[in-house]
Amino acid sequence: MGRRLSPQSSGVLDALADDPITWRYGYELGQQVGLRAGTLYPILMRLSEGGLLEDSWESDPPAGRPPRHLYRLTALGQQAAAELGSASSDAATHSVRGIQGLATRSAS
Amino acid sequence: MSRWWAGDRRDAAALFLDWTVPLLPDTRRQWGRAMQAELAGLGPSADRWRFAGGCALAILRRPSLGALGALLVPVGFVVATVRLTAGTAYLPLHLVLIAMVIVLAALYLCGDRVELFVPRRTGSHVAGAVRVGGALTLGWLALGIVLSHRSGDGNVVDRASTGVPIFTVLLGLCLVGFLALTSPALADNRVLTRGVGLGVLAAVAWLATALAALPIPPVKCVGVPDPGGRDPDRSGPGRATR
Repeated sequence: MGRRLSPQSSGVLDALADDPITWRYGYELGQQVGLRAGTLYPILMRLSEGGLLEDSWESDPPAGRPPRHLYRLTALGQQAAAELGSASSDAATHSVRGIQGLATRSAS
Repeated sequence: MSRWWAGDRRDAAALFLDWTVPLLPDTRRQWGRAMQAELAGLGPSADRWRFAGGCALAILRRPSLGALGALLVPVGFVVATVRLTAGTAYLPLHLVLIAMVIVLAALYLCGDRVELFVPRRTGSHVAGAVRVGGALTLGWLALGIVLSHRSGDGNVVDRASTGVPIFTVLLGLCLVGFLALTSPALADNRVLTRGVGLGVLAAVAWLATALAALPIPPVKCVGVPDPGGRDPDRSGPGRATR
């Protein structure tokens, strides 16, 4: 994806990357990442249109309920999630180093 | 939008979402079905409303401009009528004019959502043009009726009790005709193109005939004695004959 992901989009990508094989559905995913439908669905649409997400319909829904739309990361999505994870760990490392540097300077 | 799934939970939140989903562009229509499916699985009413409201917000972030126009134009038409008829002194006439445009607007909005009248979504510009053109023409006629009746001149009681209700039924039937004609369940492109072509041909033929030989001959007065002793065939009030 050319554009930088928002923190909410990164959260959704992270949540999907936790278990990339399992198909997830929107409401459950929203509950997990703490996003409401108004925020979650535009993110899912963008991820899907960016090729990071594949979707499918539930094949065997229980009686009385329509089939749910299910999502999981594509290979590209998994790669993006991995890059995002390493970038955020780099950022965290930089932050820790920065804090340590400040602490050292203030001690001296 | 047709009710693609007929389950038990058709409450107000589900109906609200059903009416919002057609605002999605065609390329994102499956997301609307996804939202409807999720909503069908939710329990308490408050959760359902929160979810449906969130979905509506998501849809309204990037709606289909055509679908948004199809929603806003009828609503704007009703609002305009309410304002235009604000000065109508005879209250029943005021109300019946507003009722007329509400009925027409509601029928048009149902055209996108009632299964029988749902328009073809892909590859039918002719159907779309006929539908929108027909609706705009009827809207124009209805606007003319509103403007000519709003002053409250003449027999307002007859207008309110008979005239405007008859117009409502006639325009409503025409609109239902347009909706039915442009529904893929009832017509294909070839039928529509032929229908439009024949309609234009009939209008041109009628106009040519009307211009060549006036269907109503000029009125002349005969056989009534003129009190002034003049020739009744030449002037003065009298019996009109054709």
